Formats: sequence, structure tokens, C-alpha cells
Amino acid sequence: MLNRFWRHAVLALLALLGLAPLVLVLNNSFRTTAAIYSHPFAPFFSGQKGEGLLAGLGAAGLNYPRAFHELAPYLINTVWVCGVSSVATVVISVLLAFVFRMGTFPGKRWLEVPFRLALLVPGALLIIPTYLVVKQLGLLNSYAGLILPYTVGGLIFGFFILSGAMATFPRELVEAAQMDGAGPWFCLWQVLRPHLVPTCTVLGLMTFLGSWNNFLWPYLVNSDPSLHVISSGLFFLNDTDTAGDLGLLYAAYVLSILPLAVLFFLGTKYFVQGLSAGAVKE
Amino acid sequence: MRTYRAFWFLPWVVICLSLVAVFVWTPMFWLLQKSFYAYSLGEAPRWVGWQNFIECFSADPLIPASFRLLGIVMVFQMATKVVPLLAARILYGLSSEKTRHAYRALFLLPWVIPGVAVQLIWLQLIYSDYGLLNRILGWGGQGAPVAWLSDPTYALGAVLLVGFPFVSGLELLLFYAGLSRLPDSVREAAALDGCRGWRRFLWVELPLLKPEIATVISLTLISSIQTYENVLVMTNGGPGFSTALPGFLMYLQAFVYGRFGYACVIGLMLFLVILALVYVTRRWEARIHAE
Repeated sequence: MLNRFWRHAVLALLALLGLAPLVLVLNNSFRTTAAIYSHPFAPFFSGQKGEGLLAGLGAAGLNYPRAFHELAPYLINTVWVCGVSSVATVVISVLLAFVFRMGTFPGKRWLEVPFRLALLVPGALLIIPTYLVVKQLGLLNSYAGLILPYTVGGLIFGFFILSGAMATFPRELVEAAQMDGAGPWFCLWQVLRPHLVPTCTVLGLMTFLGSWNNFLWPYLVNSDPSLHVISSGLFFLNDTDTAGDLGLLYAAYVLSILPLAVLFFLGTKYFVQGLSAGAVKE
Repeated sequence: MRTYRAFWFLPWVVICLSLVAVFVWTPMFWLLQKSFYAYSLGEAPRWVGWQNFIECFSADPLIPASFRLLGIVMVFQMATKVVPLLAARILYGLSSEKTRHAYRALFLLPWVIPGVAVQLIWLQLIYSDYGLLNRILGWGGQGAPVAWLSDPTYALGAVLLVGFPFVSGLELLLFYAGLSRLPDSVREAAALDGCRGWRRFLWVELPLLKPEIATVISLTLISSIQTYENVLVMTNGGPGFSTALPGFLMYLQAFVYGRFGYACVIGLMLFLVILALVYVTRRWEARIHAE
């Protein structure tokens, strides 16, 4: 379609434009607030007005500890909420899918319907009645007010993809194990586990990412500053007296992006699978 | 295969089901039920019959305006999908797998960045008085900085432009998977007939990508109805109501005006729109797959 040079030129330009704001943010996090105000787009090593490589490191040395000091409570909340929801999602979904795919119990056919149908419900539009439910349960301003909805959202999706994964598992292997007297726990842990690990990784990762990036729900449900998560915390930092402190803000953006960006480069494969699997859900 | 029986199966399913009942089916039911109430926090809900619906459909001038905005958003969002389509095609044409994966990772990276961080970054770096956009215009001789987000002419466009050049994520992967699905014989046959390059892309590959295009269109439409967080963060619906999308009005009515019942009517209406869209696009997709 295009020759070699133009292909790379187009792709590199697209990637560059997409990542340019991040580069600017990273750059500004190495500069003092005063320098950002006077020259918002100068590189931190440019040598303007006493700036330079060393001065940049000095400014970063001031910005990052202060940003970390502001963000640390939010980061701890976020890791706590995301960690618990993703682990709970994986454990509950595996057991649920196992019970439905490998087990028998009264009413099995009918009990599956509400789980399947829930996949079609657009969550973003239920935010108001869900808020009312959470309020009714007395869960406003609590970790549970975040963890429970995230986990339920995750388990609906998890039930769906894990049911699929279990359906493709070779029946002969389960039969062979059963001949040797394998009970349900043995079957799940020793026979099925290796087959389910990739799907579970994807599920855990998606739940983690979804709850990490969610802004509106924590913003509405947890207005208490001590319970802010990263996303609502960033919004909060922009709204209060730290708003004018650009050096701190840019360092805070970097800190909020860094953990998942690192995770992304470590496991791109799983993110790609997760993104593709997520398409089925919507 | 013999299926298992154990005493804890049924109780376990019931526990999970009650979680889903509390956090999915109760809200779903309340969306419908609360639509008939004047309901604000701290007050006893009062039954008002169809009054909320009547106000929504005939008396609230913001509703039709917000749907016009939604129409613009939908058209714009669909137009932006040309970028991931072309990017996927160019990416697919690269011979080295390593390079392909490197580019793909770069294109997907923005997806793991919290949306609110992206919006705040654009707010400060691109759209503020000293921001990149005004700076570029300044080089071109434009004098006074434009207040992109508080000028009704530009505000919606400015909100939509966040994420430029729109290449990230799901669409890229979908189109890429679609291109890998096409059999080589199709390309060879086209080449034998002298059809190469852009013409092959437009007349051979693009028609064969119909299933992926249909999926992307339906996902885009549905997600644009559910997107209003960006408006909340960047313009708070303003200036005036020039960026108040239907979803944002729902949020506004509930959490700013304290009218939860009325907000549920808006939510219900959007829910029905999504349901209709899902129905239409599923049928359309089924027809494409049947071809």
C-alpha cells in the first residue's frame, strides 16, 4: 500500500502524537512550578533561566516526594480496592463456573439465566439506582461500596469467560481423573487449574485495570478524602489548593500512570487478550 | 463425564446470585420503579405517576438539545475509527513481527492510563491559555488566547478531541484480527487480476472486513451513549449546557439537583435506546455473517 518508509513514518507519527502529552507531562515533572509557568513546553534540560540537567533532577527531587506524599494514601486505597476486587472476582468466578459446568444441582438450568442476562445490562446507566442501593446498604464512604460493585461486575464477565474456558477442556481428562477417584476439589485444582490459569490472569488483570481507571463511581460514592482512590484523588488535587502547584501535579500524573504502564509492558500479551475478550462483554 | 454433586453447590450459587441480585437486578428494577417517584435524598419518595416522563418528553428543553449533541458525538466517534482501521492495515503490512508487536504495544499503552488523568492533562497542557493549542495559534499570528473549553463554539469539539489521534486499543486489535483472518488466496486472486495497494484495500479487503466494521460501529454507538465522565471532568456540561450530553444530564439531575426520580427517567430512556441499538446491530451483524 505504502512503501516501507511511509509505513514507518505514518505509524511512528501516530504513536508519537498519541504519546506526546505523556512526554510533555514527564518533562514538566522534572521542572519547577515557576519554570513551567514561564515556559510550559521547554525541555527540562534546555538551560533556560537556570534550568539544566542537574536543576531538572533537583526539581524532580522536590516534585516527586511531595506528589508521593499527597498520593500515597490514595495509592494505598487504590491498591487495596483493586487487589481485593480482582482476587475476589477470580476466586468467585472460578468456583461459580465450575459448579455450573462440572456439577449438578436442583434448578441448574434456571439459575444460570440471571447471570447470563446480567451480561447485557449497561452498567454505566445504572449508576444512579446502584448509588441508591449502596446508600441503602449504608456502604457510602467505605471500601465495600467500591469492592462489592466491582466484584459483581467482574464475576458476571468472569463467569462468562470461565464457562467458555471450561467448556473447551477435554472431557476425557476429567473422566480419567474421575476413574482414579478425583473429587471436585482435586479435579478443579489438579486437573483444570493449568488450563484455567491464562483466563484467570486475563480476568484478574481486567478487573484490576477497570477498577484502577474508574473515576465516576469512587467520586460519587466515596466523598470522604481519606477514602479517595487514584482517579478521584487526581481530580481532588486539581480542585484544591494544590491546583496551582504544577510541578507537584505533573509528578502526580506520572505516579498515577506509572504502575499500570510498567505492568502493561511486563505482560502485554495478557492485556491484548483481555482487551479482545472484553469486546464480547459490551 | 460424570458430573459432580456436592452439598455446597446450591448454597454457593444462591450466594452469588444474591450478589448479582443486589448489585445488578435491584438497580435495574429501581431504574424503572423510581422513574415514577419524586425522589430526593433525605426525603420520603413521593409517587408522581407519569409526571417525570411527561416533563422529560415535552417540557425539558435540555433533553432534545442533549440528544442532538449525542448525535454529533456518535458521528464524530465513528469517523475517528478510520484511524485505527488504516493503522491496522499498515501494521498488518509490516514484515517483521517484532516491529509489529512494538508498534502495537505503543498504540495500546494509552489504554492503561486512567481516563481522568488524560482529561486533566489535556485540560492543562493543550487547552489552557498557555496551552499547546494557543501556542501553535500564537505562532500563526493569532493574538489573544482562545478559551477552548469555555467557548460554546469550541467546547464540545475540544472535549471530543481528547485522545487524538484516536488510534488506541480495541478497534486496532479487532481490525488487525480481521485482516489476519482473510485467506491469502483472496489477496493472491486480487493480485492476479492486477488489483494491488490502495485499490485492493478499498475494493477487496474492506468489504471482507464487514463483520469487524459492524462490531466496531455497534460498540462505538453503545459506548458513546454511556460516556459522560469526560464532560464532567472537563467542562461540567458547560458553558451553559453546550456540552451536556444525555448521560451528563442524568448525572446532573441526580447528584446536583437531587432529583433522583427524574434522573432515572433519563437513564431508562438511554437504556431503551441502547437496547434498540443492540437489537438492530445484532440483526445486522447476523445478516453480515450469513452472507
